[in-house]
Amino acid sequence: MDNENGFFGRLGTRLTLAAMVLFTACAAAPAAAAEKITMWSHWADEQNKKDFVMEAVKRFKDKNPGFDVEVVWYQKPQLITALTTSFQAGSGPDIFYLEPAITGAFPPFVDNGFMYDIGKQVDALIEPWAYPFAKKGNMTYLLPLEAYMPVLYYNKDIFKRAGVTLPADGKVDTETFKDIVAKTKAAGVTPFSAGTMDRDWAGSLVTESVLLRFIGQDKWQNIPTGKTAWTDPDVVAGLKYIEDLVKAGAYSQGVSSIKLGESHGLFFGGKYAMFPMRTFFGGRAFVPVEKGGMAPDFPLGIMDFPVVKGGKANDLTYMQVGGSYGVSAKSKNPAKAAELIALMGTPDMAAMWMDKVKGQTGVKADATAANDPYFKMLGDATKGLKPLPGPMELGMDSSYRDVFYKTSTALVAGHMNADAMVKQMEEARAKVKK
Amino acid sequence: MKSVWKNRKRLRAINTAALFLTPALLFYALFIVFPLLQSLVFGFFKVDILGGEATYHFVGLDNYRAVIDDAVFWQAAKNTLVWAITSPFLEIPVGLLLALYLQRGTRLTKFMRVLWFMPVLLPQIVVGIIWAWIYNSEWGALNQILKTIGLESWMRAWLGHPDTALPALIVVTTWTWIGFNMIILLAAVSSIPKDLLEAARLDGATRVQVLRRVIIPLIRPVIANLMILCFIGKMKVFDLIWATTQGGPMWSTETVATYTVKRAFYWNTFEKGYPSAMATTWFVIIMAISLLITRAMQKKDTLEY
Amino acid sequence: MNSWLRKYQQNGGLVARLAETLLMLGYTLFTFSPLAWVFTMSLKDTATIRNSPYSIPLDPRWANYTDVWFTSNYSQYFINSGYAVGLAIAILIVVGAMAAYAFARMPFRGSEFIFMAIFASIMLPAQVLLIPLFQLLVKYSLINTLTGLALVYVAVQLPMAIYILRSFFAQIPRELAEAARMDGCGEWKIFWKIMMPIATPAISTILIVNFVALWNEFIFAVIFIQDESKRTLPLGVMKFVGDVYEDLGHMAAGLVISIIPVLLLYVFFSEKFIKGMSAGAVKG
Repeated sequence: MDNENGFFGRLGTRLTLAAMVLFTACAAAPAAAAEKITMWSHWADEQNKKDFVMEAVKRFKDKNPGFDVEVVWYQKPQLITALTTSFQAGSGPDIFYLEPAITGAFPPFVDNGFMYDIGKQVDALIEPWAYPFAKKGNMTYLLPLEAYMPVLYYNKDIFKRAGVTLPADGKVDTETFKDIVAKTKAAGVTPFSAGTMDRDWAGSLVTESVLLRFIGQDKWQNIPTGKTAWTDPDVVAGLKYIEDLVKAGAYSQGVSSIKLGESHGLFFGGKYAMFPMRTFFGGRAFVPVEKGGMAPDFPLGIMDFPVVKGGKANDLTYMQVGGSYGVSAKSKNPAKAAELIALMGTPDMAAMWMDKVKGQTGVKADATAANDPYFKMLGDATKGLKPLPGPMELGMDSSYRDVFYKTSTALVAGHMNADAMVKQMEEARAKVKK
Repeated sequence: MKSVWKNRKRLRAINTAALFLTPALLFYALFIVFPLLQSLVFGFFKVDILGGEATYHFVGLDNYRAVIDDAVFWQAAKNTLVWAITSPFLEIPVGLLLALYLQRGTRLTKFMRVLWFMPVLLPQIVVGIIWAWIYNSEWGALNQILKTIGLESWMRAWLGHPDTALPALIVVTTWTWIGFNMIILLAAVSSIPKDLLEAARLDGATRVQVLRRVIIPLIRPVIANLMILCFIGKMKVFDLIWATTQGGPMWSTETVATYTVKRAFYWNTFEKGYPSAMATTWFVIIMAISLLITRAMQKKDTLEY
Repeated sequence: MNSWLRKYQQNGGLVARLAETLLMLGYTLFTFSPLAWVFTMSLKDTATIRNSPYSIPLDPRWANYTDVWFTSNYSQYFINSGYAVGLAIAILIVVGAMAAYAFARMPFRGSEFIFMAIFASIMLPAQVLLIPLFQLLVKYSLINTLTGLALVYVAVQLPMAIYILRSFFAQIPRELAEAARMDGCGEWKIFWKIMMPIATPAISTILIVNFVALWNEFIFAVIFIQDESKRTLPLGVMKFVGDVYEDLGHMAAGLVISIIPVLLLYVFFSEKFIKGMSAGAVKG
């Protein structure tokens, strides 16, 4: 035959080809008789959440011996692409991770008829405040497993070194906060750890909480609808405050090239004073150090965002449902899949969620977490705060939201000042159908 | 009698040609022509997926008008063109210089040739991840090197700043493809008759003069080919961006490829009409540019199909 | 001695030579150091990498490699890529050669136009075809299959293959075919028994060029393949990197594993690779 081509000559190719066809034929041969449920999920790199899900899977398999469960873990952007392409192709998993449609963080699968109603199995398990996130019309389409709110984590040792003492009630006003930023900067660390490279919302965390305090509930909740103008003096004041923080060096120059996971790691590494983050922080913090987790003796502190003197929203924050699970409308075993999801939402599993992941949940949980030091700290920091459904961009249309995220990132990275952001946001607001 | 036989022969010839051509034509029609037409047609509709079924809703020129208004699309187009136009001027001159060096044909140069060609073989995904580490503002090699040689003020977040992100990525594609251009130019330069070069040198020409007056004119068709290949190649860049900046910061590394994929498969709706209109618009732009380039090349009489 | 001296003088003297050598060394460092660095990273653990990213590992952690190989799906990724690429190249060569032979040896009115039309599609970037191809594959249930992916690869790589083979076939003397015809051979037989074996160098070129291009192909694969069990190598690398996220040592090991096969093939067949890829763009 043709020897001049070396191994990959025609003969080699034909052999490889034949081998591959044989292999595919064998692989395509009917599998074992067990029925299978497929699950696609985010959290590929968050071990404690994976453990939680696998515990639910185990309980399901114990109850249903004839079923096999296949779980595939993804990073969120790849998960979204995989789900979008496979649903449009008419296939896809039985159960999948998703986030509520109204947060806009995830494609609106429920709006396009891709979801199965799991109300029968999970309605009784959901906390009342979480209903708007879990329901569309009469249909319950997800179990609101993960809930979170924004807080400011900080490094107690750095604060001590920098000479920062927090008042007894933990609330600082905007001027004091600026002072804290200056003091920590003077102590030789970067005040905020943040990274927007793989999560475009990460640059807007401080901005939206600060804006809430500056402009009040009404205007804040009307930003997504386009009713609130960015030229509103309260809005401008809020953005200029952020600009001042940025000018004082609150953020690192590399904000846009740091990934979310990395920003956690940098804070755990001890060279950053504060870490504005949502409380799903636990998923990355409370894992073994070799997997990128926080050292058990890390001097962790939690505080609230600054309050505005004379402001109307100083007791407000927002709460959001994040990681949830739903069943595909095309599933061949939808009731069984819903059963698996319901197993994740039993009160004792929810308590396990809070314990393992140190996160909040939209599911009713056994009241066991009160004694955990982390939850105590969290409770103290957020004492008296009333949560609105959030975040600020809840309900924004996609282009408007995209501009908001991009300009927020530019603002904190120092590439844009407040006036430029106002201008660009106003341009985007003009395109919103009110 | 003779004419019948000739006609039958001609028919048979056409039949055989058809037989040989059909498979390729099938592929071409099914996978290229038909999709292109479909892209064009979809652009006139709002295409949504509801419960697994596609719905079509005629909107006339609305999508195309929206594309014209879409600032991100034009930014992406600009970025893609910047990439495609600057790259040939980076990859080819360096490739030529390296080729001239390799032409010596010593054992050392043979080894270098093997080494310098390696980047071409790597998946751009892997290349992207490695270079993202190099460009890392905290511990990446580039900033560390700058610090060591005393240029600390030059340290920055290379992939994090809108002004430096695109050039940083262009450096990466240049790093990848210099070797490819080098190899081809080496083959081209090697095919120049040695006597010509000898004669020029004996006449007292310096190396630079030999390069400008003898070598380059003789390999001009190859250089033209490479420029076109390079241009086309950079219009297609996707993997590198996907593995590093994902189009950020502030759309400075967004290309038409990444934006199309995002709008079609990663956006908040499943609507396909708009990205189709975008793809068709881009296709028209590419065709226009290609025609311009071909026209320019033909004028110089250096390219023949 | 004489020629050595002449070469020495012609090359501009000692200083120029030194500068040249330094530049070439510099370029070698520039080309090779990213790869060398990843290799050293792959032999350390994450903490060491963070503390001293550039040190040579005195205590290499070869376990990184076994960890990655056995906990990841790399073997499956290699098999999948092998199937998709192998199938695509096999079909490409046959279909492309047939068409090229027709263009070269069986011209008819309009064949030149058809050839140009096919060749023009070489400048179509993937994103223009992505959405409709997606719909097409869905319609024929080829979505999420390696076979469907391979067919797309064939269509996209055909123009270049036909171009290369056409100019090759055009150079084969007509007498060969004439002689065979006189002996009573049909066109089909002539093509397979005579033309294809002669075209081996061109086929070899196409094989190598497409192997490199398709082995590393990403954009079509990421949109058309969703199942983990069907991921090709580039997709697998992306998934793997996402899985081990903060574990830099394992990530680096995974990257090295993904590029070792091609690099090994290259080291052993470097001449063929280089000749193959250059034959595509230099005429004659």
